[in-house]
Amino acid sequence: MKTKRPSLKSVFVLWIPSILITLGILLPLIYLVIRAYDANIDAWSLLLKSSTIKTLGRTVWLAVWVTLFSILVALPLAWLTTRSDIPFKRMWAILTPLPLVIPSYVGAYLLVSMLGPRGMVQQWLEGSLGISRLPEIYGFPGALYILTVLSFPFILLSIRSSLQRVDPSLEEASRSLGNNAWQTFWKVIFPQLKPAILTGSLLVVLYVLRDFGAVSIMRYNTFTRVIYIQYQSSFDRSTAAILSLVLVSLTIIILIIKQVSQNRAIIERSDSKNTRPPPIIPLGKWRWPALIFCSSIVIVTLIIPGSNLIYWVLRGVQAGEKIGNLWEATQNSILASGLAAVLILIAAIPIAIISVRYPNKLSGMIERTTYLSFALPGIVVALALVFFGSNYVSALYQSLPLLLFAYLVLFLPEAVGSVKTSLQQINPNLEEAARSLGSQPFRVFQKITFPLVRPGLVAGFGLVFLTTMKELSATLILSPIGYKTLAIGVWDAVSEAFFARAAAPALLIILISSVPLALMTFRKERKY
Amino acid sequence: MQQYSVITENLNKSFDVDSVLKNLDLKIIKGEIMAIVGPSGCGKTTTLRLIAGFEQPDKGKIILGDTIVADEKTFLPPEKRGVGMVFQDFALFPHLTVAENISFGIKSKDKEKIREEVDSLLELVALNNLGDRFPHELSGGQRQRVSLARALAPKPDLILMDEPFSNIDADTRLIIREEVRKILKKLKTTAIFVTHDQEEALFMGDRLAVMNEGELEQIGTPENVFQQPKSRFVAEFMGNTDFIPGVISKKGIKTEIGELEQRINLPIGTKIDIAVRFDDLKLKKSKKPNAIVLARHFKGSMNIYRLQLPSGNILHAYAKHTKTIELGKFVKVKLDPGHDLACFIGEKAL
Amino acid sequence: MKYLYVIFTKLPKTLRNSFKIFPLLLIFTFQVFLSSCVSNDIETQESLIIYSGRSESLVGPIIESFIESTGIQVDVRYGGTAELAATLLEEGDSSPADLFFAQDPGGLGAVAEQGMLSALPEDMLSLVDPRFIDPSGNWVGISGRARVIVYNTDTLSPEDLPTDLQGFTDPKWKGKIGLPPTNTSFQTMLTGMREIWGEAETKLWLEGILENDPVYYEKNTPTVAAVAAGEVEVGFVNHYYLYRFLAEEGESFSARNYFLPSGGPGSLILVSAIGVIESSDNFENAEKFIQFLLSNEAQQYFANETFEYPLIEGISIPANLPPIENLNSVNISLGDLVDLDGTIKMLQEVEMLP
Repeated sequence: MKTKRPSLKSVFVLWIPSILITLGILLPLIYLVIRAYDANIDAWSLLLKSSTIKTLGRTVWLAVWVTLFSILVALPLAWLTTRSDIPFKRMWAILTPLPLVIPSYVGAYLLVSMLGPRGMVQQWLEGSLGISRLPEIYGFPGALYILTVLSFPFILLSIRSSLQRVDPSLEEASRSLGNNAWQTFWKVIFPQLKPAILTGSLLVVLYVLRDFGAVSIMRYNTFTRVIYIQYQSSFDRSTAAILSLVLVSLTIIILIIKQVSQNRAIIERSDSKNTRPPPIIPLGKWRWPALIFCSSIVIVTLIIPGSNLIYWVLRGVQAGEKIGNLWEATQNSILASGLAAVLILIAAIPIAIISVRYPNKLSGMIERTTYLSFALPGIVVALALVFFGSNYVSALYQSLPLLLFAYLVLFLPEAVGSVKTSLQQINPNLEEAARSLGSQPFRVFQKITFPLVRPGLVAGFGLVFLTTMKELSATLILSPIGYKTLAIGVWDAVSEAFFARAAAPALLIILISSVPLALMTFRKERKY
Repeated sequence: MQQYSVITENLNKSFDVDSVLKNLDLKIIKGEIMAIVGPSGCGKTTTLRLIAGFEQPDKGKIILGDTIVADEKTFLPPEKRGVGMVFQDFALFPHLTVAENISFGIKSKDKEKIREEVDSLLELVALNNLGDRFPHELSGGQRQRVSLARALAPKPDLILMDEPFSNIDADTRLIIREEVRKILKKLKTTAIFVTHDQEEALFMGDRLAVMNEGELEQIGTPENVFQQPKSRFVAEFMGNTDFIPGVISKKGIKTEIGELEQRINLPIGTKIDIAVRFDDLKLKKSKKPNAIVLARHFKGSMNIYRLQLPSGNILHAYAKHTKTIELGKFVKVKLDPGHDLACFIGEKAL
Repeated sequence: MKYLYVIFTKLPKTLRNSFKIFPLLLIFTFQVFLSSCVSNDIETQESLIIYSGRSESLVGPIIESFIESTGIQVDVRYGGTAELAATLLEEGDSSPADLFFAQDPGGLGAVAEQGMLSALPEDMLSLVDPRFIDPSGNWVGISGRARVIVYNTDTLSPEDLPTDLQGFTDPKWKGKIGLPPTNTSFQTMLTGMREIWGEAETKLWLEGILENDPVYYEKNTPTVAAVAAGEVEVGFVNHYYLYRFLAEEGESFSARNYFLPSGGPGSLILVSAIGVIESSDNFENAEKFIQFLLSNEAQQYFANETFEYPLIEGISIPANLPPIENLNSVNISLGDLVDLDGTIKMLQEVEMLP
């Protein structure tokens, strides 16, 4: 009895909340349709213009390459930090996903100040080696580089947790059939990782689609940048809406592609009763190359940007720059992100449960719908909630609850994904066993389901927390008036070129969001 | 001289501080099925994993055929040992079809040849038409057979089986193990078979190795191990055994339930323990009873009665399925083995 | 005693059971919900809500001194001018804002077009040069910025630079020009160019610039930074960003402003501006705020701290800033430069914008 008919209770506890949340998520889409309805024929004809189609192509092109490079970086890192005997394994496990916490506009600014045509590296090269020109970083290469650095951890985290679950006897079977560790990885383990790679890639692709900070600094015109330009230059909400709907359609296509390719990769967890941890494979002579690989990734993605920020802070302090009181902003950031993470987790639980325990068309639809707003630029979601909030629930407009709701619309998929993954690992028999022992469903959840999905909840909390810490567009418009956060602090200073003043709050964002990320990595190290 | 397929010498392995294998010496003759049996945690699976190369021994030597695969200096990885393995959970590759699973270990590049070999293996395990199925579409027994076919495909010198039948329904288990034994015998493959089920071990093994707490207790033919257990542990583990005290007398051994005519070279008056199996006893209604019936297990084809003697000792005895005695009744129980019984002083057999 | 011990040993376990924290968090969340709703309700008539497209680092201090001197509570929502304009347009009549302080008149124009700005009193408008107010009186300029050429002092001196914008279509500037095509000031300059030179000429100029492979920047600041770093040699920007860099980096900063001597669209003076939202029921205080921004104190602040030009008479300006009278600026009313849409279309046609 794997697929059950929903009971009356589950309708009230799971289905109705899930459907309500999904409807909430659809608000931005409704808004876009309303705005697009206002548009004149000119705006619609924009869709057929070659430049629009070209931009769409460029966007997809960038997303594809960022995803490929992210997989390329994430796959070996995930393997090394879970399955090898690399020295300082736990340290690498905690450090490698950390670039996720760097806001994209900060990352891009730092990249330009390092590798830009007149950046630090260029000046140093010129001084010592006489190399006059580094390869151009603006445009595609820069956008590719920075977005890969900032989003590969999505795939890394996803693969890591999957790698820890691969049945070790599959590997042993392959080894005993004459394949060495390398062949075994590609023939047996890699196919098991496909769903994890797909899930992580989906997050990466949608991240690239909605990113504005990095692509605008790197001057690569993606669809989101074009949408922003519509708002910025012509205050044209209708055209922006039409373009945003294109982005939504693209998301739907991507979701369909994911769905189809997942069907093809038939993954049914073998009914293993094996609870052995997966074996650790000695690196032998590959130890040094592996160490060099890990440390160069950490240096490039973390140490250099981090020390660059510290340099700016120190320089600012030396020059007598007022860093200002960041205490209030820090508190606000933690409060808003923490509340958002809890709220989003609570919302994610019913959706994750129905999609795992009652897999049918409706639950699949509900789950996929959560992704629809995920590819939308923050400004679009924010304006949608301005429209509904100010006109229909003015009591809540520009209050913390509405801001939290905006975060929910923006980031729900991150939490649903994490909770879902850990739910999938729980044998439904456990829940049924508990029910048969006479426990009430809620008690079952409390005593059995909750403790078992806790790692997933911790992971979801960490992910949502750090993405919310970075969020800017919706925060600027929808926060309670006068509500300062660290991200706003960075933005305010950067937009006026006060780099030293921007560095301190940026550093704080990174440090604070590292905590839940480190915690979740740490937790994943332990096994149930 | 015997030709050995596997020799382990002085094999030691511990995980963290738990020593799971102590000085294991084992020789497996080419072509035989060796059943390693013992309670969980006795080191039998570790032995298998050491031979397969999934674990590295702390001390000792493993020789497969003429090759030293593990000692202080050498450690041959599993893929170079030519050892097939059948796992408890089958470990079929979920992303591959049955045919792809089976051909996984075949090194040949010739597609036609691979197809032929897979087909003949499918036939061998009686799964002729299931080559295109995926593992999750098969029943437990079918998966088991695929798993065996896959292990046999590279024509290994040795097949290792780790509790291969424990995940199969009880009613199919009997059929499957008969089939597996037949196949192994037909191919004359050397096999090591690990189980915690003594009955299964007795059926499957040409020889049996009984292990306990990391050490080898006894090795021998099933009959030998069953009838002449070398230690109290083996007697107990091989099943259906109770112990009653006895004293060496002139005629043989004197016990609570009569005298046993069995000569033992010990001074009269020496106290020993006798291992009594269920079938070594005879039950009778009598006016001079010596036991009380505590419980009856109706097994269908027979009854097993649990009896308590006046001394408090507990015995079990078979009786015909038609012979029903109410609980609490007094009966007379008598030793009637028809063969010598195993006797022990302390833990050791005499 | 034993009881205490039992409680003591059990306590950490209970705490560790984070499930029990969930209801607490819910209650906490709910309280925050409530408190934030309540705080929305008690906004008094005395307080002003400003949407500011100008950043807090620049206008924060002057708003502080307004609060100090008048006692009127001011709450500010900072954001991009365009985003705030879009927000106002979505809010319509339910906007909580009383004032919209914009980086440029463009955003105000978009809001005014929907009838969302109230007309300002004549005596307030008359304080400022008529070039810098809305012809229909919906907004008033607060601070002025001159369009300039910023150049790299290591590779160029003022003599190397042409006297007007036309000079930059010369092939010798190939690869040396930086500009921010998405920046409103740059676009307003082009709107002025269309007004002064006409459509055809403007398009020709754009094409000429494009021939020279200009480097695009996101906005003014990075353009100035890039010029100083030598990434490009000249940039089309507003004047005051340079002074911000000079203040932070010192005199060694290797870029300076060049005010085009022959005038034309390259010497336009643009303004930041402010307007009162029609739906505001706080017109009196809003007016007080605008009056304050046009007072000596605030105008002096803009001159000294943000290096912008004051728009009222009698304010001294920093020594390194050329007086506004010395600039050969064109006599064109910013109210006439509203056709931003036409400029965008042209930029898209020549593919300077996507």
